[in-house]
Amino acid sequence: MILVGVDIGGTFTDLICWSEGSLLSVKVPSTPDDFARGFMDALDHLGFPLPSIDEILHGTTVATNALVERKGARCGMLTTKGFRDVLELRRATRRSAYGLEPKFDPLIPRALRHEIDERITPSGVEQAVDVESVRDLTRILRDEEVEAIVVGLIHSTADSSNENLVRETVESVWPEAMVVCSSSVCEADTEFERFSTAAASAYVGPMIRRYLENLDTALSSSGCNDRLRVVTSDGGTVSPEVAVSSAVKTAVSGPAAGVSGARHLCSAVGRTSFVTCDMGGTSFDACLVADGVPSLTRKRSLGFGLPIAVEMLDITTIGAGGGSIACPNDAGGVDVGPDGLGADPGPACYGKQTHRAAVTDANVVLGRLGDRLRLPEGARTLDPDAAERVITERIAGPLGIETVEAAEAIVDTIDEMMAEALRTLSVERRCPLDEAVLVAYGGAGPLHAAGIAVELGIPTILVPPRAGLFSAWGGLLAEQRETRSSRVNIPVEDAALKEAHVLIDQQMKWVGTSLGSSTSSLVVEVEVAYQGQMAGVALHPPCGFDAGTLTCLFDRRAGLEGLEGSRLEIRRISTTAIEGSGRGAIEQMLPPVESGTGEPTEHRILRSMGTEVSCPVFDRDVLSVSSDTAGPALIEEAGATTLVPTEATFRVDERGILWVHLGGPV
Amino acid sequence: MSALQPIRLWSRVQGAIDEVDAAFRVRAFDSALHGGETAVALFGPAGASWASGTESTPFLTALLGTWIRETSSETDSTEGHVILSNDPYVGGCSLSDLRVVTGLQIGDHGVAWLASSGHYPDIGGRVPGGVCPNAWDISQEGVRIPKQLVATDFRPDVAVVDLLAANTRHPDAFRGNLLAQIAALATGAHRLRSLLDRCGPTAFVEAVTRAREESQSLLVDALSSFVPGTYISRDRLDPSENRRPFRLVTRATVESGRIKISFEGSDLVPGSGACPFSAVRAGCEAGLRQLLPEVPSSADLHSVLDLQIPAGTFLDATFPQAVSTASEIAGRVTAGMGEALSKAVHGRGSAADAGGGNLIVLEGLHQGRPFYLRLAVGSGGGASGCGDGLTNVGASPRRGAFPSIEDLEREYPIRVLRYERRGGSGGAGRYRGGDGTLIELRVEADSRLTLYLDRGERGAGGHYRGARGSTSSVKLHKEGHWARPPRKVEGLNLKPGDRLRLETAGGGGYGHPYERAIRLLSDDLSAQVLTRRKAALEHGVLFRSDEKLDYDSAATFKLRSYRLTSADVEGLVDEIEEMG
Repeated sequence: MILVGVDIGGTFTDLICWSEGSLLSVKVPSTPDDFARGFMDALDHLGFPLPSIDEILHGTTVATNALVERKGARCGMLTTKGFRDVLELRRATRRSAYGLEPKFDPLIPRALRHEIDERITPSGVEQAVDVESVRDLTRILRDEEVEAIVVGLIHSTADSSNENLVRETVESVWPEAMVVCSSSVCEADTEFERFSTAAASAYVGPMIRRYLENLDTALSSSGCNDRLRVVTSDGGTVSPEVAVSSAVKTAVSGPAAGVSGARHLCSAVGRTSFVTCDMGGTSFDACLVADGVPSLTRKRSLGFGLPIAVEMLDITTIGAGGGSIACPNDAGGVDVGPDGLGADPGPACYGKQTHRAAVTDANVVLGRLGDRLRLPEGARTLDPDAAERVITERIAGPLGIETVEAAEAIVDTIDEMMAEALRTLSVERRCPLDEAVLVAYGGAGPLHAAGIAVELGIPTILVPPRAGLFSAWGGLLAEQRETRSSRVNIPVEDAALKEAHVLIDQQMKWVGTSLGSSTSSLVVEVEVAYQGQMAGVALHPPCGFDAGTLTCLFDRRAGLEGLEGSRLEIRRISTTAIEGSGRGAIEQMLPPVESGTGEPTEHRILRSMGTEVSCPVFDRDVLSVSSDTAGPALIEEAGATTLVPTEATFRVDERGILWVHLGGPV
Repeated sequence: MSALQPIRLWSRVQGAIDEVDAAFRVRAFDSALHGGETAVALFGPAGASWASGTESTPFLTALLGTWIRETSSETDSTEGHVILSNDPYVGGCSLSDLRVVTGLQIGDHGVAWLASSGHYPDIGGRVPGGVCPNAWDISQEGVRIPKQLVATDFRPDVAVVDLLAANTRHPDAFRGNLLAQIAALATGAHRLRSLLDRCGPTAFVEAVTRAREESQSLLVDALSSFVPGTYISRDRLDPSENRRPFRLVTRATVESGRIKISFEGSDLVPGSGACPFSAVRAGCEAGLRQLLPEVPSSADLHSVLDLQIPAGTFLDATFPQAVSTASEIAGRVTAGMGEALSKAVHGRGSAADAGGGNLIVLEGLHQGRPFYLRLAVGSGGGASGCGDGLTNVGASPRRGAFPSIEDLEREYPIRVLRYERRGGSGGAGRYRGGDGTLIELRVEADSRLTLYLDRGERGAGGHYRGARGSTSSVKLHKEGHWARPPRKVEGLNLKPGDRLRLETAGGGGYGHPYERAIRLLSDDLSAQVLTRRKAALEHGVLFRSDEKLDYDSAATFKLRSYRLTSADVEGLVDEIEEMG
């Protein structure tokens, strides 16, 4: 069996191929003008006939990019009379507490949003749809050359028949139209979030369709038909057809594949509390897990006024990566990101530009990266002089400090930004970091992990094999998933919980049926809060839970002193059915490694303010298994470098996982 | 030690401060607190501002500063002792703003103060939500809490919390909010303590002092670009029952890097709806803050402001004057400051948000149980050099989120008939002010209605020759016909089927309206937020049809070459009024 995982990031396109127990990897620059080209480039690098591939699992950022860059389709909308502006009015929010507010444009402009006579109330349809006006408006929208039509009616989750009737009417006039009904994209949210999700789905749908069709054509012409599966934002996989019909579900699929890989990895080593740190060239994606199961969220926004209410793994993204641009600030320090240089032109040490300093340049100046970057298909030469020059001229000079100090400031600043993002996340998700391990991956994750972990007082870092391409690897383990979610208001009392269990049974049946007979496991997630509290926490209680268990789980995570014994309630219940991928267990995907000599390949000078330390550089492939080695050390592999600080130790286990132990909590 | 060490340390301090806001909001039991009506700040021994939350509401942050400076010398400074107060007359605004503080011993350098504030949804009193438009003294507005110890070693004194909670309409929510606020303060204090223990008090003080000096020097630099002179803005606040509108004249004199503020020319009659001095000061700071986006929030804006307020006026409330509408008054001071000072410097900040309170409160019995519904409808945001203002933002200076229409209809006996953008209500300008909102409700049960609406007399001011936004309007449909209810009124009886329609005000415009790109105007026409007539009158562009870019270029050239707009005419009238 041959499986291929492909993850397209902002900077690189990563590919991992699993073939009968061995893993191959490829990393090529992404091609933002046509991502399919980078995809096919990566496949070409594999060097064996494509028809022999059994399955390709693909994580993509096409949908996210289209939304963030506002390059999606022209869409129209049909909505209830009196509510034309729901998308525009938002929840009356502001971007920030003070400062300038740039103009806000909803995904669908006002001129293309039309009202129809109809009304649904919480108890059902009160006024039928004026079908004739829907016909007229469909013709108007067709003449306006929209590519998709959103149907969003007030209270359509209470009764979806009016939305369905509008859809049928639109299709009767314009059979080719792409119609997205709000109640079918999003069954558990109120009007603004639901309409916004439907609008986003329509907005990216045509683009995803074109992208996947191009990819399908290219794959078919190489004799590789019907092998593609697309990873979704909840870490599952769907067929390309489903990915088109609910396009927004692929929005953060690359990082989701990474988190789902980390879940498998941590369960294999028996850790239930972990933090994922996925740092690439462009962004830093993080997820906090308290109980072995990454939580789902329906509250993610892909920009101001653009909530996407579908189940996604609860991943937070900030603009911090190896390519993030550093510049001096007025306070005499350094600002890093969120803008980055991507793969092209890339940092100054790539040799294509000389006027902007990036995080990677700082790492080169400090000796944390050498003069060549090992990539799966060969090495990329780095120019340390260019890095030194750009940091001196752009950062150290203006600040009146030394070059090494400037480089250190850049690295410390970005480490701290990432640590701060995690700390805030820990507060917001009420998910303590005390017992967590940090799982570091992505091209730059293992290099910065120690800096983040020290800042947060996390004592253990786990660096998976092929850390630089881990999200592509995670795609190999992505399962087919089906989730059913309901908003509820059920008190956490044994008598009332019967209702919750009945609902869970119904959800189980629903997800089981839609996934087929091959369901291999079920996960129940409940969001619990104090009665009246605005935000709940996502918990994963055991099946058949009682009030005592739930209260205990809640108190441990989110209990407030002084409110002991206060009434709790369940706000949301979701049940996920997971179908085993049938692609082999984690053990197979982590083939045992052979113990090497454990001898360093070279020594490099690690520079920091006032000191220079000679640091051994190891090739990860020839580390000696299961023996502890003291830092400092740099461990290089194709696509990533791990930094082990002076006061830490490291060892690699028989599965090739690298464990870095810092000197206990700081 | 590296020269950059203090900067890194300070950014950790900032992180700890921001965590207090995040921790409070995530645990809150109210949508406004959850949505951001909170603030946190750290103050030095003499009340100097050391750091404040990046996401804190600027007005509440400024208010914390006035509170700490007025009271810290007599406050219990034991670390872990949490002191609570909402006293409007001692560094406060209205009873709804609950402030907590704890001391933090910085070695031999004295005591620092970590304080947080939140705008609570209900604090008792005769109207749900705390705004009583017709109250004449504070006893009608809710529970007043002088400085009170509510936690020892950060452990809440449950008896005190329960006593306060018992005097509100939603005791559970009040209790939850206050305990969340105390827990959040504890989170920040513990982190600051561990930072202090790691780096030592001297390095800590050096780091915050250095950051403060940087901010102050940025403040001085920014102020040096203000042209010296006296600048005036004129506003009118809507009257309460049986009264005249209040004139609010804000005069800002820029002179040698300082700003002197007086309200000479205002109607300084005491009456219902007064505002404590501290809130006026905080409003002024927030107004200046809008013009200085590059100055970090740790800069002490109060240090460059000299306020002159004659005692005994409605801008200097004293016991027992009613103050529940103080935050709207302070918001208008903010807008007035911004408008006046925008004449001193080119291109900074954004025009005034419309604000306007826009509070609708319904209470009654539904299916045998009492219900209280408090809706704060959004209005237009001010335009800026970045573009048009936001449509439908929470009333300045507050933030928060509007509930979902579907939830409202599910949970309360009302039907929402329309919820729309009020097209064209933003002030004209190169960038138009954000539009206000139109909401029409029908009540389905016998209810009592309280309204607190402002911006009915005069729209939000524009900047740099941008025009004012439209004023707000309200209508009530009872017994078969529409009528205009009083704008600040308590306890109107409504019957099932009665309808209320509120159109909130638009934000101020930015830049001369004739500089608005024709492409943008064409978009406004196709979005049906502007008529062709308005495009011609306000922006000097003569469109022949609603087709894209179909306009008469010769006529447009002629119109635009006069460059006289309704805003200019209004300015002339103001000057004539001013002369006598």
